Amino acid sequence: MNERYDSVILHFIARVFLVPLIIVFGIYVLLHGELSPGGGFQAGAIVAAALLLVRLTLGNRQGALRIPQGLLIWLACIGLGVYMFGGILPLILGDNFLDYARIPVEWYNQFAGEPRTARSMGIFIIEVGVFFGVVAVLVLIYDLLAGSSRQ
Amino acid sequence: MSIAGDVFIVLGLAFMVITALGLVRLPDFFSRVHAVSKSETLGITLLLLGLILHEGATLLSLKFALILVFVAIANPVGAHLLTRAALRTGQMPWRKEERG
Repeated sequence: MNERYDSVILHFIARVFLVPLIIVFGIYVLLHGELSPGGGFQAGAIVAAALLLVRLTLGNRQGALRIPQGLLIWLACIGLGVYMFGGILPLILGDNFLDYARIPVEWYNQFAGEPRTARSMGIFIIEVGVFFGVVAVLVLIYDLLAGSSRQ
Repeated sequence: MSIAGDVFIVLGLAFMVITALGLVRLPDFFSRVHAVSKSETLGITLLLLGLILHEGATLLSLKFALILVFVAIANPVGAHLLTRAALRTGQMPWRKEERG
């Protein structure tokens, strides 16, 4: 935020109270992706909103959780790679693309050994990939649009 | 318990109607933000309290309470920032007679 409109109240509320809670809620939404309302895209948007709130509050100063742009691009590519890994792993195991029934997960919960267990875990792998991709790309878009003075 | 919840909900709705009225009728930016921040926070608080009374002690009530905490914190902070930015960009508070 511009130095002219700075406010101690905003800093306290945003940094001490809102941002940690928003990040925790985003991870909660991510972990509930395949069972209840939620998912990778929504969780990524929520966590990216927390990061953007820090940027809007602090602007250029130290502590604004600035991430280098190269690292953001790498993170988006890693998210895409996790998605592709989750999609191609069933192909290697002898099933269709994105058909997780044969992924060997025997430790998951009381439904071990059933196809739905493996499908749930496979969807979760893909959600994690989408999560990283969405966080990285949204933060990168903000940085590129607003960061001509930043670099 | 249900009747108490109804009373709370109707009170909260009344405060929200007053908020909307103030938003339309008040003369300048600062008094409008004042109307929105104060009486709307109270209206939402009463509304959610009424819903909690209806629901009883369940997980849904806990979620209502969380919404209440977030609204009660975010709404005044937003109003504070809006008025601060308006004042520092030169918006003058309204007076009854214009001074030359």
